[in-house]
Amino acid sequence: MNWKEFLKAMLTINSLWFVYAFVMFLLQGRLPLNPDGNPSMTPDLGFNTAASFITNTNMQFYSGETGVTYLTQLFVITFLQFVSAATGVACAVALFNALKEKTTNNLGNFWLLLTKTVTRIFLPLSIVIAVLLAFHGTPTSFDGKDTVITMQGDTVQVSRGPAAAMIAIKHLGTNGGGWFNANSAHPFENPDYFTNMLELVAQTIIPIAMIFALGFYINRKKFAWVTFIVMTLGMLCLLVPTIVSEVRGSPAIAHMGIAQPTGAMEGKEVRFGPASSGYWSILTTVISTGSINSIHDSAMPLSGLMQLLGMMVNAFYGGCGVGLLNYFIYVIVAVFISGLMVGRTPEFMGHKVEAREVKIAALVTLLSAFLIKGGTAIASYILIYHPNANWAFKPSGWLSNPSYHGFSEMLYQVTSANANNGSAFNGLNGNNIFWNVMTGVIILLGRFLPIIGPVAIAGLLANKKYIPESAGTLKVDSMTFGIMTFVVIIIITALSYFPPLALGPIAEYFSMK
Amino acid sequence: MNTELTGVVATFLLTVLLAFPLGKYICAGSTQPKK
Repeated sequence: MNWKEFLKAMLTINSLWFVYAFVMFLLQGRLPLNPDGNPSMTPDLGFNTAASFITNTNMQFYSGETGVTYLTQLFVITFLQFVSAATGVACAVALFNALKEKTTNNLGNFWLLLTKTVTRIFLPLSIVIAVLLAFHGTPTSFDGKDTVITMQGDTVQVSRGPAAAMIAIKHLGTNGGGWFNANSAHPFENPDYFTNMLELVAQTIIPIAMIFALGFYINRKKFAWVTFIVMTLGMLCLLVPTIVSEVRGSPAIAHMGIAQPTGAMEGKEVRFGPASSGYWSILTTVISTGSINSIHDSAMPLSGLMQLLGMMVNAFYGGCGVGLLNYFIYVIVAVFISGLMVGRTPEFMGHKVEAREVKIAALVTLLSAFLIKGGTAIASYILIYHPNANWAFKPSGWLSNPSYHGFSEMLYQVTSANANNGSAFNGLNGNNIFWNVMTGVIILLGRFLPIIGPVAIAGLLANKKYIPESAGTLKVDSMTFGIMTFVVIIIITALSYFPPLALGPIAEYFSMK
Repeated sequence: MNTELTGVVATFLLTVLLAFPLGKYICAGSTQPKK
């Protein structure tokens, strides 16, 4: 398939999956495998959830216990968690094929790549992880809610379900949507420290493996290692301040004279602690999984800033396959700037990078900033000027926190939608028409345009005449070029996102000092 | 706290250790299109 045929196939099947998911969510209340009698979704929530799961985002404005049925959890959500991740990997392999050949218009067969990715990577690994989770206490039952008497003597209803199978692909496919509302902070979804490590490894392994696969596939192992080092450096720049601020504890609590020997524990599980929760929060935001084992709304402002930056860059490992596509866009910009600096026509792996490729890369880069800042601006405007609008859910009820933190909650939600991450600052009440529709549209644009752009660039480059490397060729597998790419990522991110970050987490950080 | 940090480092190293052979596997046969 050439790049146009490849993208046409990808978009066609994704459109069909969207219709299938949307219809199933609207009808789920009347369909079988619904022992708890959960209702169907409203059209706006169905639209958001369908968009969210076909795009590997897994933003959830519903509660897993009451908002979906076993049928939709298994045959819509879990199914889409497999195929949406495989779509990302297939598109990344199209890029590999373009870089591998000197001149070609064949990027591979989308259907073959999709099927092989599901059956030979995700299914076998998911089975192993699901079995390990089941043996550590994650439910795998089709029974409905169980009635339990607590130690206090209260009678409570505890949700169950065939959760282990879904939680395995939730992480392997960098999906992130939880079976339970509390996601991996729930004791059934992530019972102990072993499962915590297992889920951390599961959600990171494919994005990192894809970097090494690139090196083997195009026979440029040094380029893969440079890419891995740049991405790891970026991840560490976000991780270290997060762990330090979480382990130190909250300055607001310290001002009250209360000791915090175990760090900042608000919103965290005692069985995981602040360091592991901080590590999870950064990994889940850099690789676009969006699962949580602590509540990000309760994280320190500096940690919130790092989580936002992870999603804004969206290329430090990134999601399954799409992380590499995002990184490729930054590489094209870095190649272009390097070419300008030395006064030569930019070349990448033997192909001239010309105006058309750079324009596509620039558009994809600007699109994210436009969607994130535009979406947050619209939400802020409505909240400030129309707080009591005559809507079913008034804007004044959106936020649980005022001031800087409230702004961060909206910024985080829009950023998460654009990055196809899916996690949330849980203080935002998002299940209403405005947030369901706005984030649904942003999710779709934030998924497909950043896939179409890099695959189109790859197809255009691969069609060009191959230029053999010479002494004057830019060495893209050198550490110097790696640093150049890293600097380009920092400059683009800083220029694009400093104003909203200053209004949210940065202002909150200084207000707590 | 040192134990917690050791857990974080160990988890990351384990991920990279497993990702390398998986990358080789992905390249070798699982996703390569037929010529």
